[in-house]
Amino acid sequence: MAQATVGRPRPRTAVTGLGLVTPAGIGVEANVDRVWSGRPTADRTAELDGLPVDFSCRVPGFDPVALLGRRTAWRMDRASQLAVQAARLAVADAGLDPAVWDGARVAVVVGTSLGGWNTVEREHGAFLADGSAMVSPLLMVMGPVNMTAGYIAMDLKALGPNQVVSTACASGNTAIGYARMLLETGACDVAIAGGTEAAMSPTAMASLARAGALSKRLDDPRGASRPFDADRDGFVAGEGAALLVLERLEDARARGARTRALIAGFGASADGHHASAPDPTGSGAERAIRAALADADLGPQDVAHVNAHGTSTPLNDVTEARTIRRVFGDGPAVTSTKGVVGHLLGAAGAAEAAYTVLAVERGEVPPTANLGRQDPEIEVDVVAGEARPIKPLAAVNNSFGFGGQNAVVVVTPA
Amino acid sequence: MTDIQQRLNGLLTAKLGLVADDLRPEATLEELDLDSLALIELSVLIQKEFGVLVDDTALTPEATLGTILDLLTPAEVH
Repeated sequence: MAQATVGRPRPRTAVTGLGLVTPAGIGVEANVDRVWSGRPTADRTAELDGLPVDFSCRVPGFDPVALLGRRTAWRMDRASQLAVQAARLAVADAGLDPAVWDGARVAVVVGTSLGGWNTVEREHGAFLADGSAMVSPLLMVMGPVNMTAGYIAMDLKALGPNQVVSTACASGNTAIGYARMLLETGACDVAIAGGTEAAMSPTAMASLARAGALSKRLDDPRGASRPFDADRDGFVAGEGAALLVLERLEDARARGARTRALIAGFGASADGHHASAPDPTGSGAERAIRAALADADLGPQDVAHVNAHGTSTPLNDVTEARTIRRVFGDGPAVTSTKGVVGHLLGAAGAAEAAYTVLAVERGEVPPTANLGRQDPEIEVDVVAGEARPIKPLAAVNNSFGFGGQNAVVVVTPA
Repeated sequence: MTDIQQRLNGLLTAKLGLVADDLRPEATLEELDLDSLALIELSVLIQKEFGVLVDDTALTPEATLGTILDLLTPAEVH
């Protein structure tokens, strides 16, 4: 096994597997089909009936009992169920076999914002309605955010360092950045890293709606997530999980693995400005982007594509576009895949990192769905209508969270 | 099989994922592979289904399904 020590070259990090369980579908193929054709997924959601916003993006055809067995499924919040399936898919995509691997060398780093919030809300309802005797003992193994990573360890016997990171909507990117550090230090040989979120409970959705963060396009859910469009009015909440299998490039090559792309850089910062609004100067986001480029030893001119945070909120999109223009000029092909899958919150960065990996691997940037008339204040080259071929030199995935937490990943071809 | 037994078996299969064929009255909770968390969950499920508060201490690994059925007398359940 490779151990990073002083004087040795820094190991490079390869993406050898992708596991996607998103509103665009289950598996890489379903996601490419839906995201690269730019077809939105938002729809009315029965559980949200009667709320100010009653639509969201849900994973189609997800059956936790068929997947995990009833005896296991009932002990997990949906956030963990989605994560376990994504982890299984990622490991299979990497050609790894948990039956024979050295589990002690396999790390898990999961990003999530709200973890098992659904379960907390349900059991709190039981407590208020019927008293403490009706509270499930499982609340304490379903609610806490750490369980999303813990259940992956149990399911796959991934027994190395195991943790959850939480930076709101940047969590997925943060997880990938920290997993890469674990590989660089030699703390593990394989890292399963990404994010999961399934927190569209009535209370969480009511709060987001009251905060003015969600689109209120009630008569047109499919057109509601419209990043960079002049008529955008908020984001559409989504659920999903995305996990990447990361390995040191030399290890991946040694075992003959297919390398989809490299995670070449990571940068993080804090705005220190406001609880929910981005810093209007974009200086925190800019520092994260520049730190990620420096980490990758690349310049802005090397970047052909930016997968933007692009939430479809009035404030984020214009602030982010100005920041992209300031750093990169009008060079890169910019897209926001949130037009198709909505905002997966703590899983957003991971799903979008996976889409960035696929964009680099395929040499093709997916379009931003629902872009009818680009906001004239947004002066970047947004890919709309159909996918656009690129020469994949390097690509950047932006993620910015409530609380002003920013995380940026740089992806380069294998 | 009594109505109460059918309802209990329904809980055990639908909520805790047990297999119907294993649910013999003499089977112990340990034999059914119910761990400590599952036993407390079972007491919550029984209260919701039957309105009977089963003391957590009655649901030991050695208790059988028959033991539980004895606690669920027709006079007490709803």
